[in-house]
Amino acid sequence: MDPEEAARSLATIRNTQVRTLESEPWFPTWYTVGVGVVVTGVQFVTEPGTSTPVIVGASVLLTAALGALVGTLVRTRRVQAHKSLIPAALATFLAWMFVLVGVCLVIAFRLDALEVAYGRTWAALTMTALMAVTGPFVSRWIARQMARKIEKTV
Amino acid sequence: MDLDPVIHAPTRLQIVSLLAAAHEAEFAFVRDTLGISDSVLSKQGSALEAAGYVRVRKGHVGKRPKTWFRLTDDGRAAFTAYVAALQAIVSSSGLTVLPEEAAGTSRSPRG
Repeated sequence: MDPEEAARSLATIRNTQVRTLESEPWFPTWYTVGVGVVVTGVQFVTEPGTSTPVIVGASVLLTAALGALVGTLVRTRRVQAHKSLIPAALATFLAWMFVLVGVCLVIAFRLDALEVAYGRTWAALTMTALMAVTGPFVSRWIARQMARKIEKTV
Repeated sequence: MDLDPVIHAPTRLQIVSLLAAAHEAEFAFVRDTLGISDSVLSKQGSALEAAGYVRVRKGHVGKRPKTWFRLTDDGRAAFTAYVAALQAIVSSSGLTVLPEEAAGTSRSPRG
């Protein structure tokens, strides 16, 4: 093989890999929103005054919902990035989660101080809404980060 | 320099390149991303499986049958060696490849 042909092959490999990683978001927004809804449900049923049967019943339902979410994610994913690309993605993802949980806590404490009923639930709902709004951008950004990383290896 | 003939075929090179970036990829995703037909992907996927480079997993999502591909350790090692061989050819010639350039016009003199 001559050098020009080899260079073209390398470019083809790189373009294929970049396209692969950029064509799908790293995580689907419906999944993180679903987890947010489950978290909101947990906050709701653990508010003071909730009866034990309701807590038990809701816990079973929420656990089943979480299991269904994970199961659906595993079964319907079209592509999973290779594990060597995960560390770079994880840092961004954890930073995003840290900000979301931080916002949730600030709102929860603020509403609690104002003695607003179901303060934790409202805070978790706000976090879920933020997940829905920012999730697609973060997910695409992570996918692009992974694509840039793999570009450097070919 | 000898290049692995299993990977060297253009379509198989694209399939292996895609799978090298992934842990696992679904049949339709590979087909759509590479812009190839079902029959071509089936044929080349079988060739890669026969060479021991790709593992094929079949299952169902709901009632729909699905097929997933993943590179085996041998396949990943072969791909890594193939890329290293290409890089050696390119670097020994003084050419380089710029990331932002398209595949067809990706040559530029180095230095």
